[in-house]
Amino acid sequence: MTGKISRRNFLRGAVLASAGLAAAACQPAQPSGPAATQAPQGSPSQPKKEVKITWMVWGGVERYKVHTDNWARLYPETNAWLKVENVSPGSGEADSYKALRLALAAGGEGLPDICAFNYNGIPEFARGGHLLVLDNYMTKYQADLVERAKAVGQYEGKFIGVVNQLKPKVWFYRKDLFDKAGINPDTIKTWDELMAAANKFKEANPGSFMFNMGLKPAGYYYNEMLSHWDDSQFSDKSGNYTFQNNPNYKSVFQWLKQMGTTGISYNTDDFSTDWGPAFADNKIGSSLIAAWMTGFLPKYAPKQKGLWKLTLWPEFNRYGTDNGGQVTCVMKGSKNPDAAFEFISKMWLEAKGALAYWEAIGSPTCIKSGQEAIKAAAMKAERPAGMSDENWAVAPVNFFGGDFMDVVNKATDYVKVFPWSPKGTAEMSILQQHHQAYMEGKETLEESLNKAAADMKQQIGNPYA
Amino acid sequence: MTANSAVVSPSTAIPYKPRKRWGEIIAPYLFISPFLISFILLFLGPAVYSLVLSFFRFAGYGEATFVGVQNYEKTLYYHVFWTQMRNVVQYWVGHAIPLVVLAFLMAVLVNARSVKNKNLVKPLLFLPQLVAAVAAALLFKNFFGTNYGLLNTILGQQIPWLENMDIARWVVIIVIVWRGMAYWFVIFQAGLTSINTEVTEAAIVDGANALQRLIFITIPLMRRTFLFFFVMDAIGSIRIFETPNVLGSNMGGLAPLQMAPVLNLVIDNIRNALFGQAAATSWLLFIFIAFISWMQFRLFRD
Repeated sequence: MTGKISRRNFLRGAVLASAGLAAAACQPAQPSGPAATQAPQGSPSQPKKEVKITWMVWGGVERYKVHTDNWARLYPETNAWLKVENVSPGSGEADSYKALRLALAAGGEGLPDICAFNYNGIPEFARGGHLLVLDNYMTKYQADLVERAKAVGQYEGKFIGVVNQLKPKVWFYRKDLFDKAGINPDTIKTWDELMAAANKFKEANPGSFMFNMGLKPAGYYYNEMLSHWDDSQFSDKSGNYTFQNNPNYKSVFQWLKQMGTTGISYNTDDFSTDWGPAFADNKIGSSLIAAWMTGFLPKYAPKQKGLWKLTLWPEFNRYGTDNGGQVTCVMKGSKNPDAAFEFISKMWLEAKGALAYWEAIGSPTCIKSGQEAIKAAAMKAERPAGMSDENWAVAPVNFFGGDFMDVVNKATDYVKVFPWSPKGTAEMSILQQHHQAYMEGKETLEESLNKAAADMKQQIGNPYA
Repeated sequence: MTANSAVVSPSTAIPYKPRKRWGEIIAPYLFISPFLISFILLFLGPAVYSLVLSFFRFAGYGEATFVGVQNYEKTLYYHVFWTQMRNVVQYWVGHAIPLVVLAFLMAVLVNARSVKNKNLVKPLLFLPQLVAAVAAALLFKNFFGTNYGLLNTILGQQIPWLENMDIARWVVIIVIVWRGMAYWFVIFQAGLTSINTEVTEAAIVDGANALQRLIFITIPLMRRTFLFFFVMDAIGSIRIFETPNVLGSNMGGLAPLQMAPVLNLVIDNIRNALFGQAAATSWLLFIFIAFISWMQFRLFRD
């Protein structure tokens, strides 16, 4: 062979190949396979053949192995034909969503059968039609669902997932310090009463504060407080941003600023390096937060065992959640949707599954029968066999006392979900940015809200488009 | 020289042009093909793809809608982009001068004949570089804590190092200098060893003192090392990500706007499935880095 390739020709070939690759990559994704278009009908059936399903979670597969192991132990018959494999594309929810988008862009081949979502991630994929509608599957479980928790598993009135972690709003407080100040948290109904109590608390407990709040409030404060009302959406379905004139937003902006800048709070933000030591040091006397705090407080202040109690948020802002909760959805592209639902229903829609899940991570359940089972187990406050002293010291039932689940269960009756749009996280991040400017005194209340609306309009446009 | 070799004079010689075989032509390309293929697949392809993408509204899947230069406009008219650019420029300008001075002087000092146990001193000085950027930032986050931080405990103060954003940006600069010094110390060390000792010895014979030798001999001869420092350090500074985000965020998220680097806008756009905008921001960042590098090459040319 005597043909020659000139340098120019070679380079031309390389450029063409690269352009070809780029063009191929730019091709819009093809619709996913046949399974994606077939919505299952009727109740699930049990296939005889062994079926393997994949469960996408974030934070590493090790964290979830305990759940799949528990499930296998509790349901040996189902486990005989149904195998579950965990996949974890990264440390955060954003990593899961990125992996889903990539799989969808590649035609849906790499999609997991089921995937965990925080509620704010649901609208994008539900509106895109990538989550299986579970209305038919859920029929037999509906009666047992906690009424208000139904909304967390739904999008636009249809069931799109099973709630595996509810995040109801709970107020944690130091009973000894509140008693010393003569404050009964259950009698506080309004914001003004709360502020008066905070001042009273400070006077009675020198060096301690009723709350902690710096100039960078954690993101969950916004959706916890805003989800109290039904009309807290950023925009209407046509993409017109209207929140800047909504009194709910003005109240939340002012409340948080008042908490952070008027001396009633210990000056540090949640999850800062000072937060944990401040609890241990008796600087913080209460926290308006969500039920998941049961997992953190015992670790921050192990010596305060028995001093902390739980109650509902004051009436003026009792409804709502921290982002609804975590929801596990069956992907529309799943090749085994029946088996996928079989797994998640046994895990979270049956009492013994819900109890095992609570024992593993202390998460409240969304089913009434599960609540009863968990409450009974909590009241016993027994140390599980084989649990180390170290783990038992920080176990919520040991730290808070057996009755804490009573309050958590009650709080689930006030669950409401913030009306996230498909671009909800972007909207919330812009809102937070301008609220911080308001906290720091760089923007007035009206300026911060109007500028946030202008930014959303310019950067996001119509979030439903 | 042998007799035979002088027989043919240059004017009468017939030029011999051996015919290249296909194998000889293709061989060099085969040698560079592993790099070339990976370069095209992993860099050029995605780069072209992202350039194309920057003109589309695309959620990462589904249909892409052509929007012209709208993504570039959105970024350029967004105050967040400019605030984050200001932050990275402050990180860059704020640390470059102290870093180059400290790292260079450290290299000069360690290079001095009077310093003993150089084999021990050099690895010790390099230690900060062994600490990962995230780990270093976490260490300094505890060090600069307002109420329970080590520094404020020693000072008996409650300085809001990481709460006040105007101070927090300088904390970021301190961490960059601390880590960077170790790396650039080694680079300057290498630069110093490349200076011909005859030149410095001649200067000593001519009566130049240590300071004069440093200013008139060492620094001019290290010009290319300094150019390398300024170009590479500027690129690294503009693309900074971990240090400000770990220091500034409380829940493993992104830092607040007033100390956020410009890469946060790219990450934010990716998280929010605004891939076209993420690509446009990346290309604007590329143009800025290219411009800065070109300026520095011109500045250090002579």
